[in-house]
Amino acid sequence: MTGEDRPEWLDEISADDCVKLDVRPILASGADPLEQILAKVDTLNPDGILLIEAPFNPLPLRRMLAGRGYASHGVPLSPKHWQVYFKKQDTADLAPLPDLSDLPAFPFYWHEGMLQMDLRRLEPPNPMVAILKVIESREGGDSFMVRLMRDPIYLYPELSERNWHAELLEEGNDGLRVMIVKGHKE
Amino acid sequence: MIGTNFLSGANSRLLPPSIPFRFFTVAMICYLLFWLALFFNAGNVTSYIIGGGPMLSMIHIATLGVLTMTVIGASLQLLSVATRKAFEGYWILRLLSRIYIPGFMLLTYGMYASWHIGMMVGAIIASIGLLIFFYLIINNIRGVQGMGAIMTHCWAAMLSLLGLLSFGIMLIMDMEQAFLSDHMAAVLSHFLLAVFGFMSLLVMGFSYILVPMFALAPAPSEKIGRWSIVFNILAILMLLWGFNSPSLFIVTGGVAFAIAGCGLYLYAMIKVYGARMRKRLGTPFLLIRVGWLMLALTIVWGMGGIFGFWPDTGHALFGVLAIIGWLLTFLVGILQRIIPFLSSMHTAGSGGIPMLASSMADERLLKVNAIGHLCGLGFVSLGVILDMDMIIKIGAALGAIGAAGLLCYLLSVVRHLVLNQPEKL
Repeated sequence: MTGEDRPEWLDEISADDCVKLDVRPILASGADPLEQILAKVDTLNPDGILLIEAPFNPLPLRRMLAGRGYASHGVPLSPKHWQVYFKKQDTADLAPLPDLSDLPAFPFYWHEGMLQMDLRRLEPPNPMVAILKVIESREGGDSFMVRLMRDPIYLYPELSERNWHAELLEEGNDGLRVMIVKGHKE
Repeated sequence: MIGTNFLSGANSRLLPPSIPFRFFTVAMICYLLFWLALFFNAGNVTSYIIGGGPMLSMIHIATLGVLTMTVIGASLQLLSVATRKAFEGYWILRLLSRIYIPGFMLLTYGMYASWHIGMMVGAIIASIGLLIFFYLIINNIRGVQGMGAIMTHCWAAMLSLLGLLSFGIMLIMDMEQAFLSDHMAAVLSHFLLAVFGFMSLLVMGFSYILVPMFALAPAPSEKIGRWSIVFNILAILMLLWGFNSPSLFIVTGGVAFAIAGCGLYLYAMIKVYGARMRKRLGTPFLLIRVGWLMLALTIVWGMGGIFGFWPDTGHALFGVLAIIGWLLTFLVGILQRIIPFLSSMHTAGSGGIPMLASSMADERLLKVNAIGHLCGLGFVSLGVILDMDMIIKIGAALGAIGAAGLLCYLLSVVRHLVLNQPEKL
């Protein structure tokens, strides 16, 4: 199971400090918990953090709330138990997220002013398409961070053609952390 | 940090260019030979059904020479990247080429000359080569997580390969010993497993990665790919059963599954094409789209044959649609895109910036290839429908001009790689 980088807004926050909603019994009964989640979101105060307990990583929900200005962080406790934290961001400082709604959902958020995309669960060639869509949308800035499972070797000619390049920052058993940067490598 | 050079481990998964390019080069030589053989055998195209001689040799130059060589070169390179599993050693890939290519040459010469011993020995050597390919692919895809639809296509294609090799060897033995009770059913089974089982399933499976990658579009839904391969496997099994029972009812069921399987594949491809980011896709995608159209026509025409609507030349038109129209057109389109793409990646090591393929070879040759190939396909199809040798000859000549264009393009790229990247070869 692959973990996400813990954001600063979760520092010194415990589960007890959050507004909680366990959607597992709702899903188990066959009902859709979306309305109850949105009702909880509406009751959050500006600094409040919502903690959703779910039987899977709720990527479509995370994407939907990201569109409303909520950053999220998922923690896999077991294959069938995820804790996902949501916090409203200061939207005045954040550019809108590029529209990648035609791709399967994946963690995708702003972190310290840099766009972060965790593409490890996408199958090829979707990671390459996601990266190129962000570049072509011009909404991801001059550099952004991606997490990948595969060396994106087929991406390089495409990056070069667009005057961008890739820089490997970290490699481990849980994949690669790669910075995609505008301009050719110096 | 690395720039446009490869990230960690990628060099180990990007094969030395000499491996895929040796298969592509032989494939392109066979592509030209195929059209030339068609030119010289135009008079036999509509009357040929079974038996040794130049027609049998010509068909195998297309299937084992162009199609299989292209599929081997592309799948060895693609799979190791997609599955993140490097091959154990390059020696076995080189051994594959050193066994398969001479075996193929001996087999097709044996077929041409109706030389039974040559045919048999060539078939055994080529089969050993293909069994090495089988081992490499199975070893690479075993235990891979994800990409379920693509992996299922590969498994089904590899099992079809075993079946087609068995039928192929039996058919050659039967030419001398006449032990098969129904030689024609075995011919149909061999054709089905080769054209629709082995090659079409590999082509369809890789399409789910290659087409969105080249068109820059989201990959199609996994669910469509899974249903498509389920229907296609059922189609192949029922057609095999129907040909060998023989039962028109079962064959009809097989065709129904083929319509569903191929229909889903085409639906997925059309959706990918519609969602593409790259708007100008050039001649490769013209060929690829014509290939898809020809696949649909092949299935429709095959259905016509089962229900007895074929004229005397119907079987020949079916072969032209399936082999030249669908597989050859589609794979030539893919090759037009893969050759510059791969060569560009192999030049990325020097200075970090991949070299544009246009600086290695004249891209107008790709247009010559596309025009020659499509005109060749059109004239050959018309010649078969009208049963006129001269029109088939004109088509074959145009096809040969097109093939020469792609061969020249490939040789320019290879020459560039040899001169500029000798350490990588």
